Amino acid sequence: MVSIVVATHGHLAESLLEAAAMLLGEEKNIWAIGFFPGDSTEHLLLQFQNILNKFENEDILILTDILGGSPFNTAARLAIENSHIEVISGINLPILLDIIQNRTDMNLNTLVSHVINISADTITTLSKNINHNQNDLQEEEL
Amino acid sequence: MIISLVRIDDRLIHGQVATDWVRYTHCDRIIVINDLIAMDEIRKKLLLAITPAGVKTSIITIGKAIEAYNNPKYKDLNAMFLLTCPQDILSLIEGGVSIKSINIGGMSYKEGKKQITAAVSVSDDDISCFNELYKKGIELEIRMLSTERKVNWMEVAN
Repeated sequence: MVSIVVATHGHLAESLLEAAAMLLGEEKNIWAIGFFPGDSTEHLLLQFQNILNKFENEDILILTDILGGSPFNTAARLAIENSHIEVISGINLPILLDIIQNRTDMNLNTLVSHVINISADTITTLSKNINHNQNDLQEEEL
Repeated sequence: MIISLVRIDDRLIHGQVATDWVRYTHCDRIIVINDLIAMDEIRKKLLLAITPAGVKTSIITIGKAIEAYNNPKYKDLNAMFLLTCPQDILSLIEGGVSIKSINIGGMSYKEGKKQITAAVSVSDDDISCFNELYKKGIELEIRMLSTERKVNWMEVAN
């Protein structure tokens, strides 16, 4: 199983886990790190290390909010010298749910490619979905 | 037709269904069975628009559900039945649909209803329907998510 650390500005990480639990139940091997006004990056690094120290040679996926933000940059410092850690930026709830549902069946590399493949489809519009799915109905008797 | 889940949930397709139950059942199709919604073009349109990836949705009347259930064309179809109330399930059974277990996912509170769990509130008529289903030997399990413990109807009914 790929372990997950969600690291974001503010309460977003914690709230993403709370939202995911409403839809999939409570999960193990998943942590939230929040970066708040006045926090130092050393403090952020320490929070990462406290979690990552639990693991040795195990796959860890770090999900961050924006490319180049402090959560991402700090995660990058740890990941760059560790082939068992990958960092994704641009996390949203559909992607998080997908990762949780696939992390037992996929290894880190497969999971990361999968996330990149589905990512664009996680943002959509009502109009597009209405047009797309109505056709489907007309073709089916049921 | 393989009915992989019969769920009562008056929110019909929403996050828990789209995320947890679709994957849990591996269903091909979500079949929303409700006489009023099947005739409501706007609600149908919206339900179709939110169909989760990898599955299809039908919104049909009780009568049409019974027809489809008996149609050999759909013998290999893995279907998730979504309904809003136990009354409609009794009608399905009276129409010959074989149901062994019912997942009670969500029945919202309205005045005159009794709240029995966080997500389930029932009227007197709901209670007598559930008791009738129970007498037929059908499992009645209350659960929002597949990962939760099943709470049996009889644990909370009285």
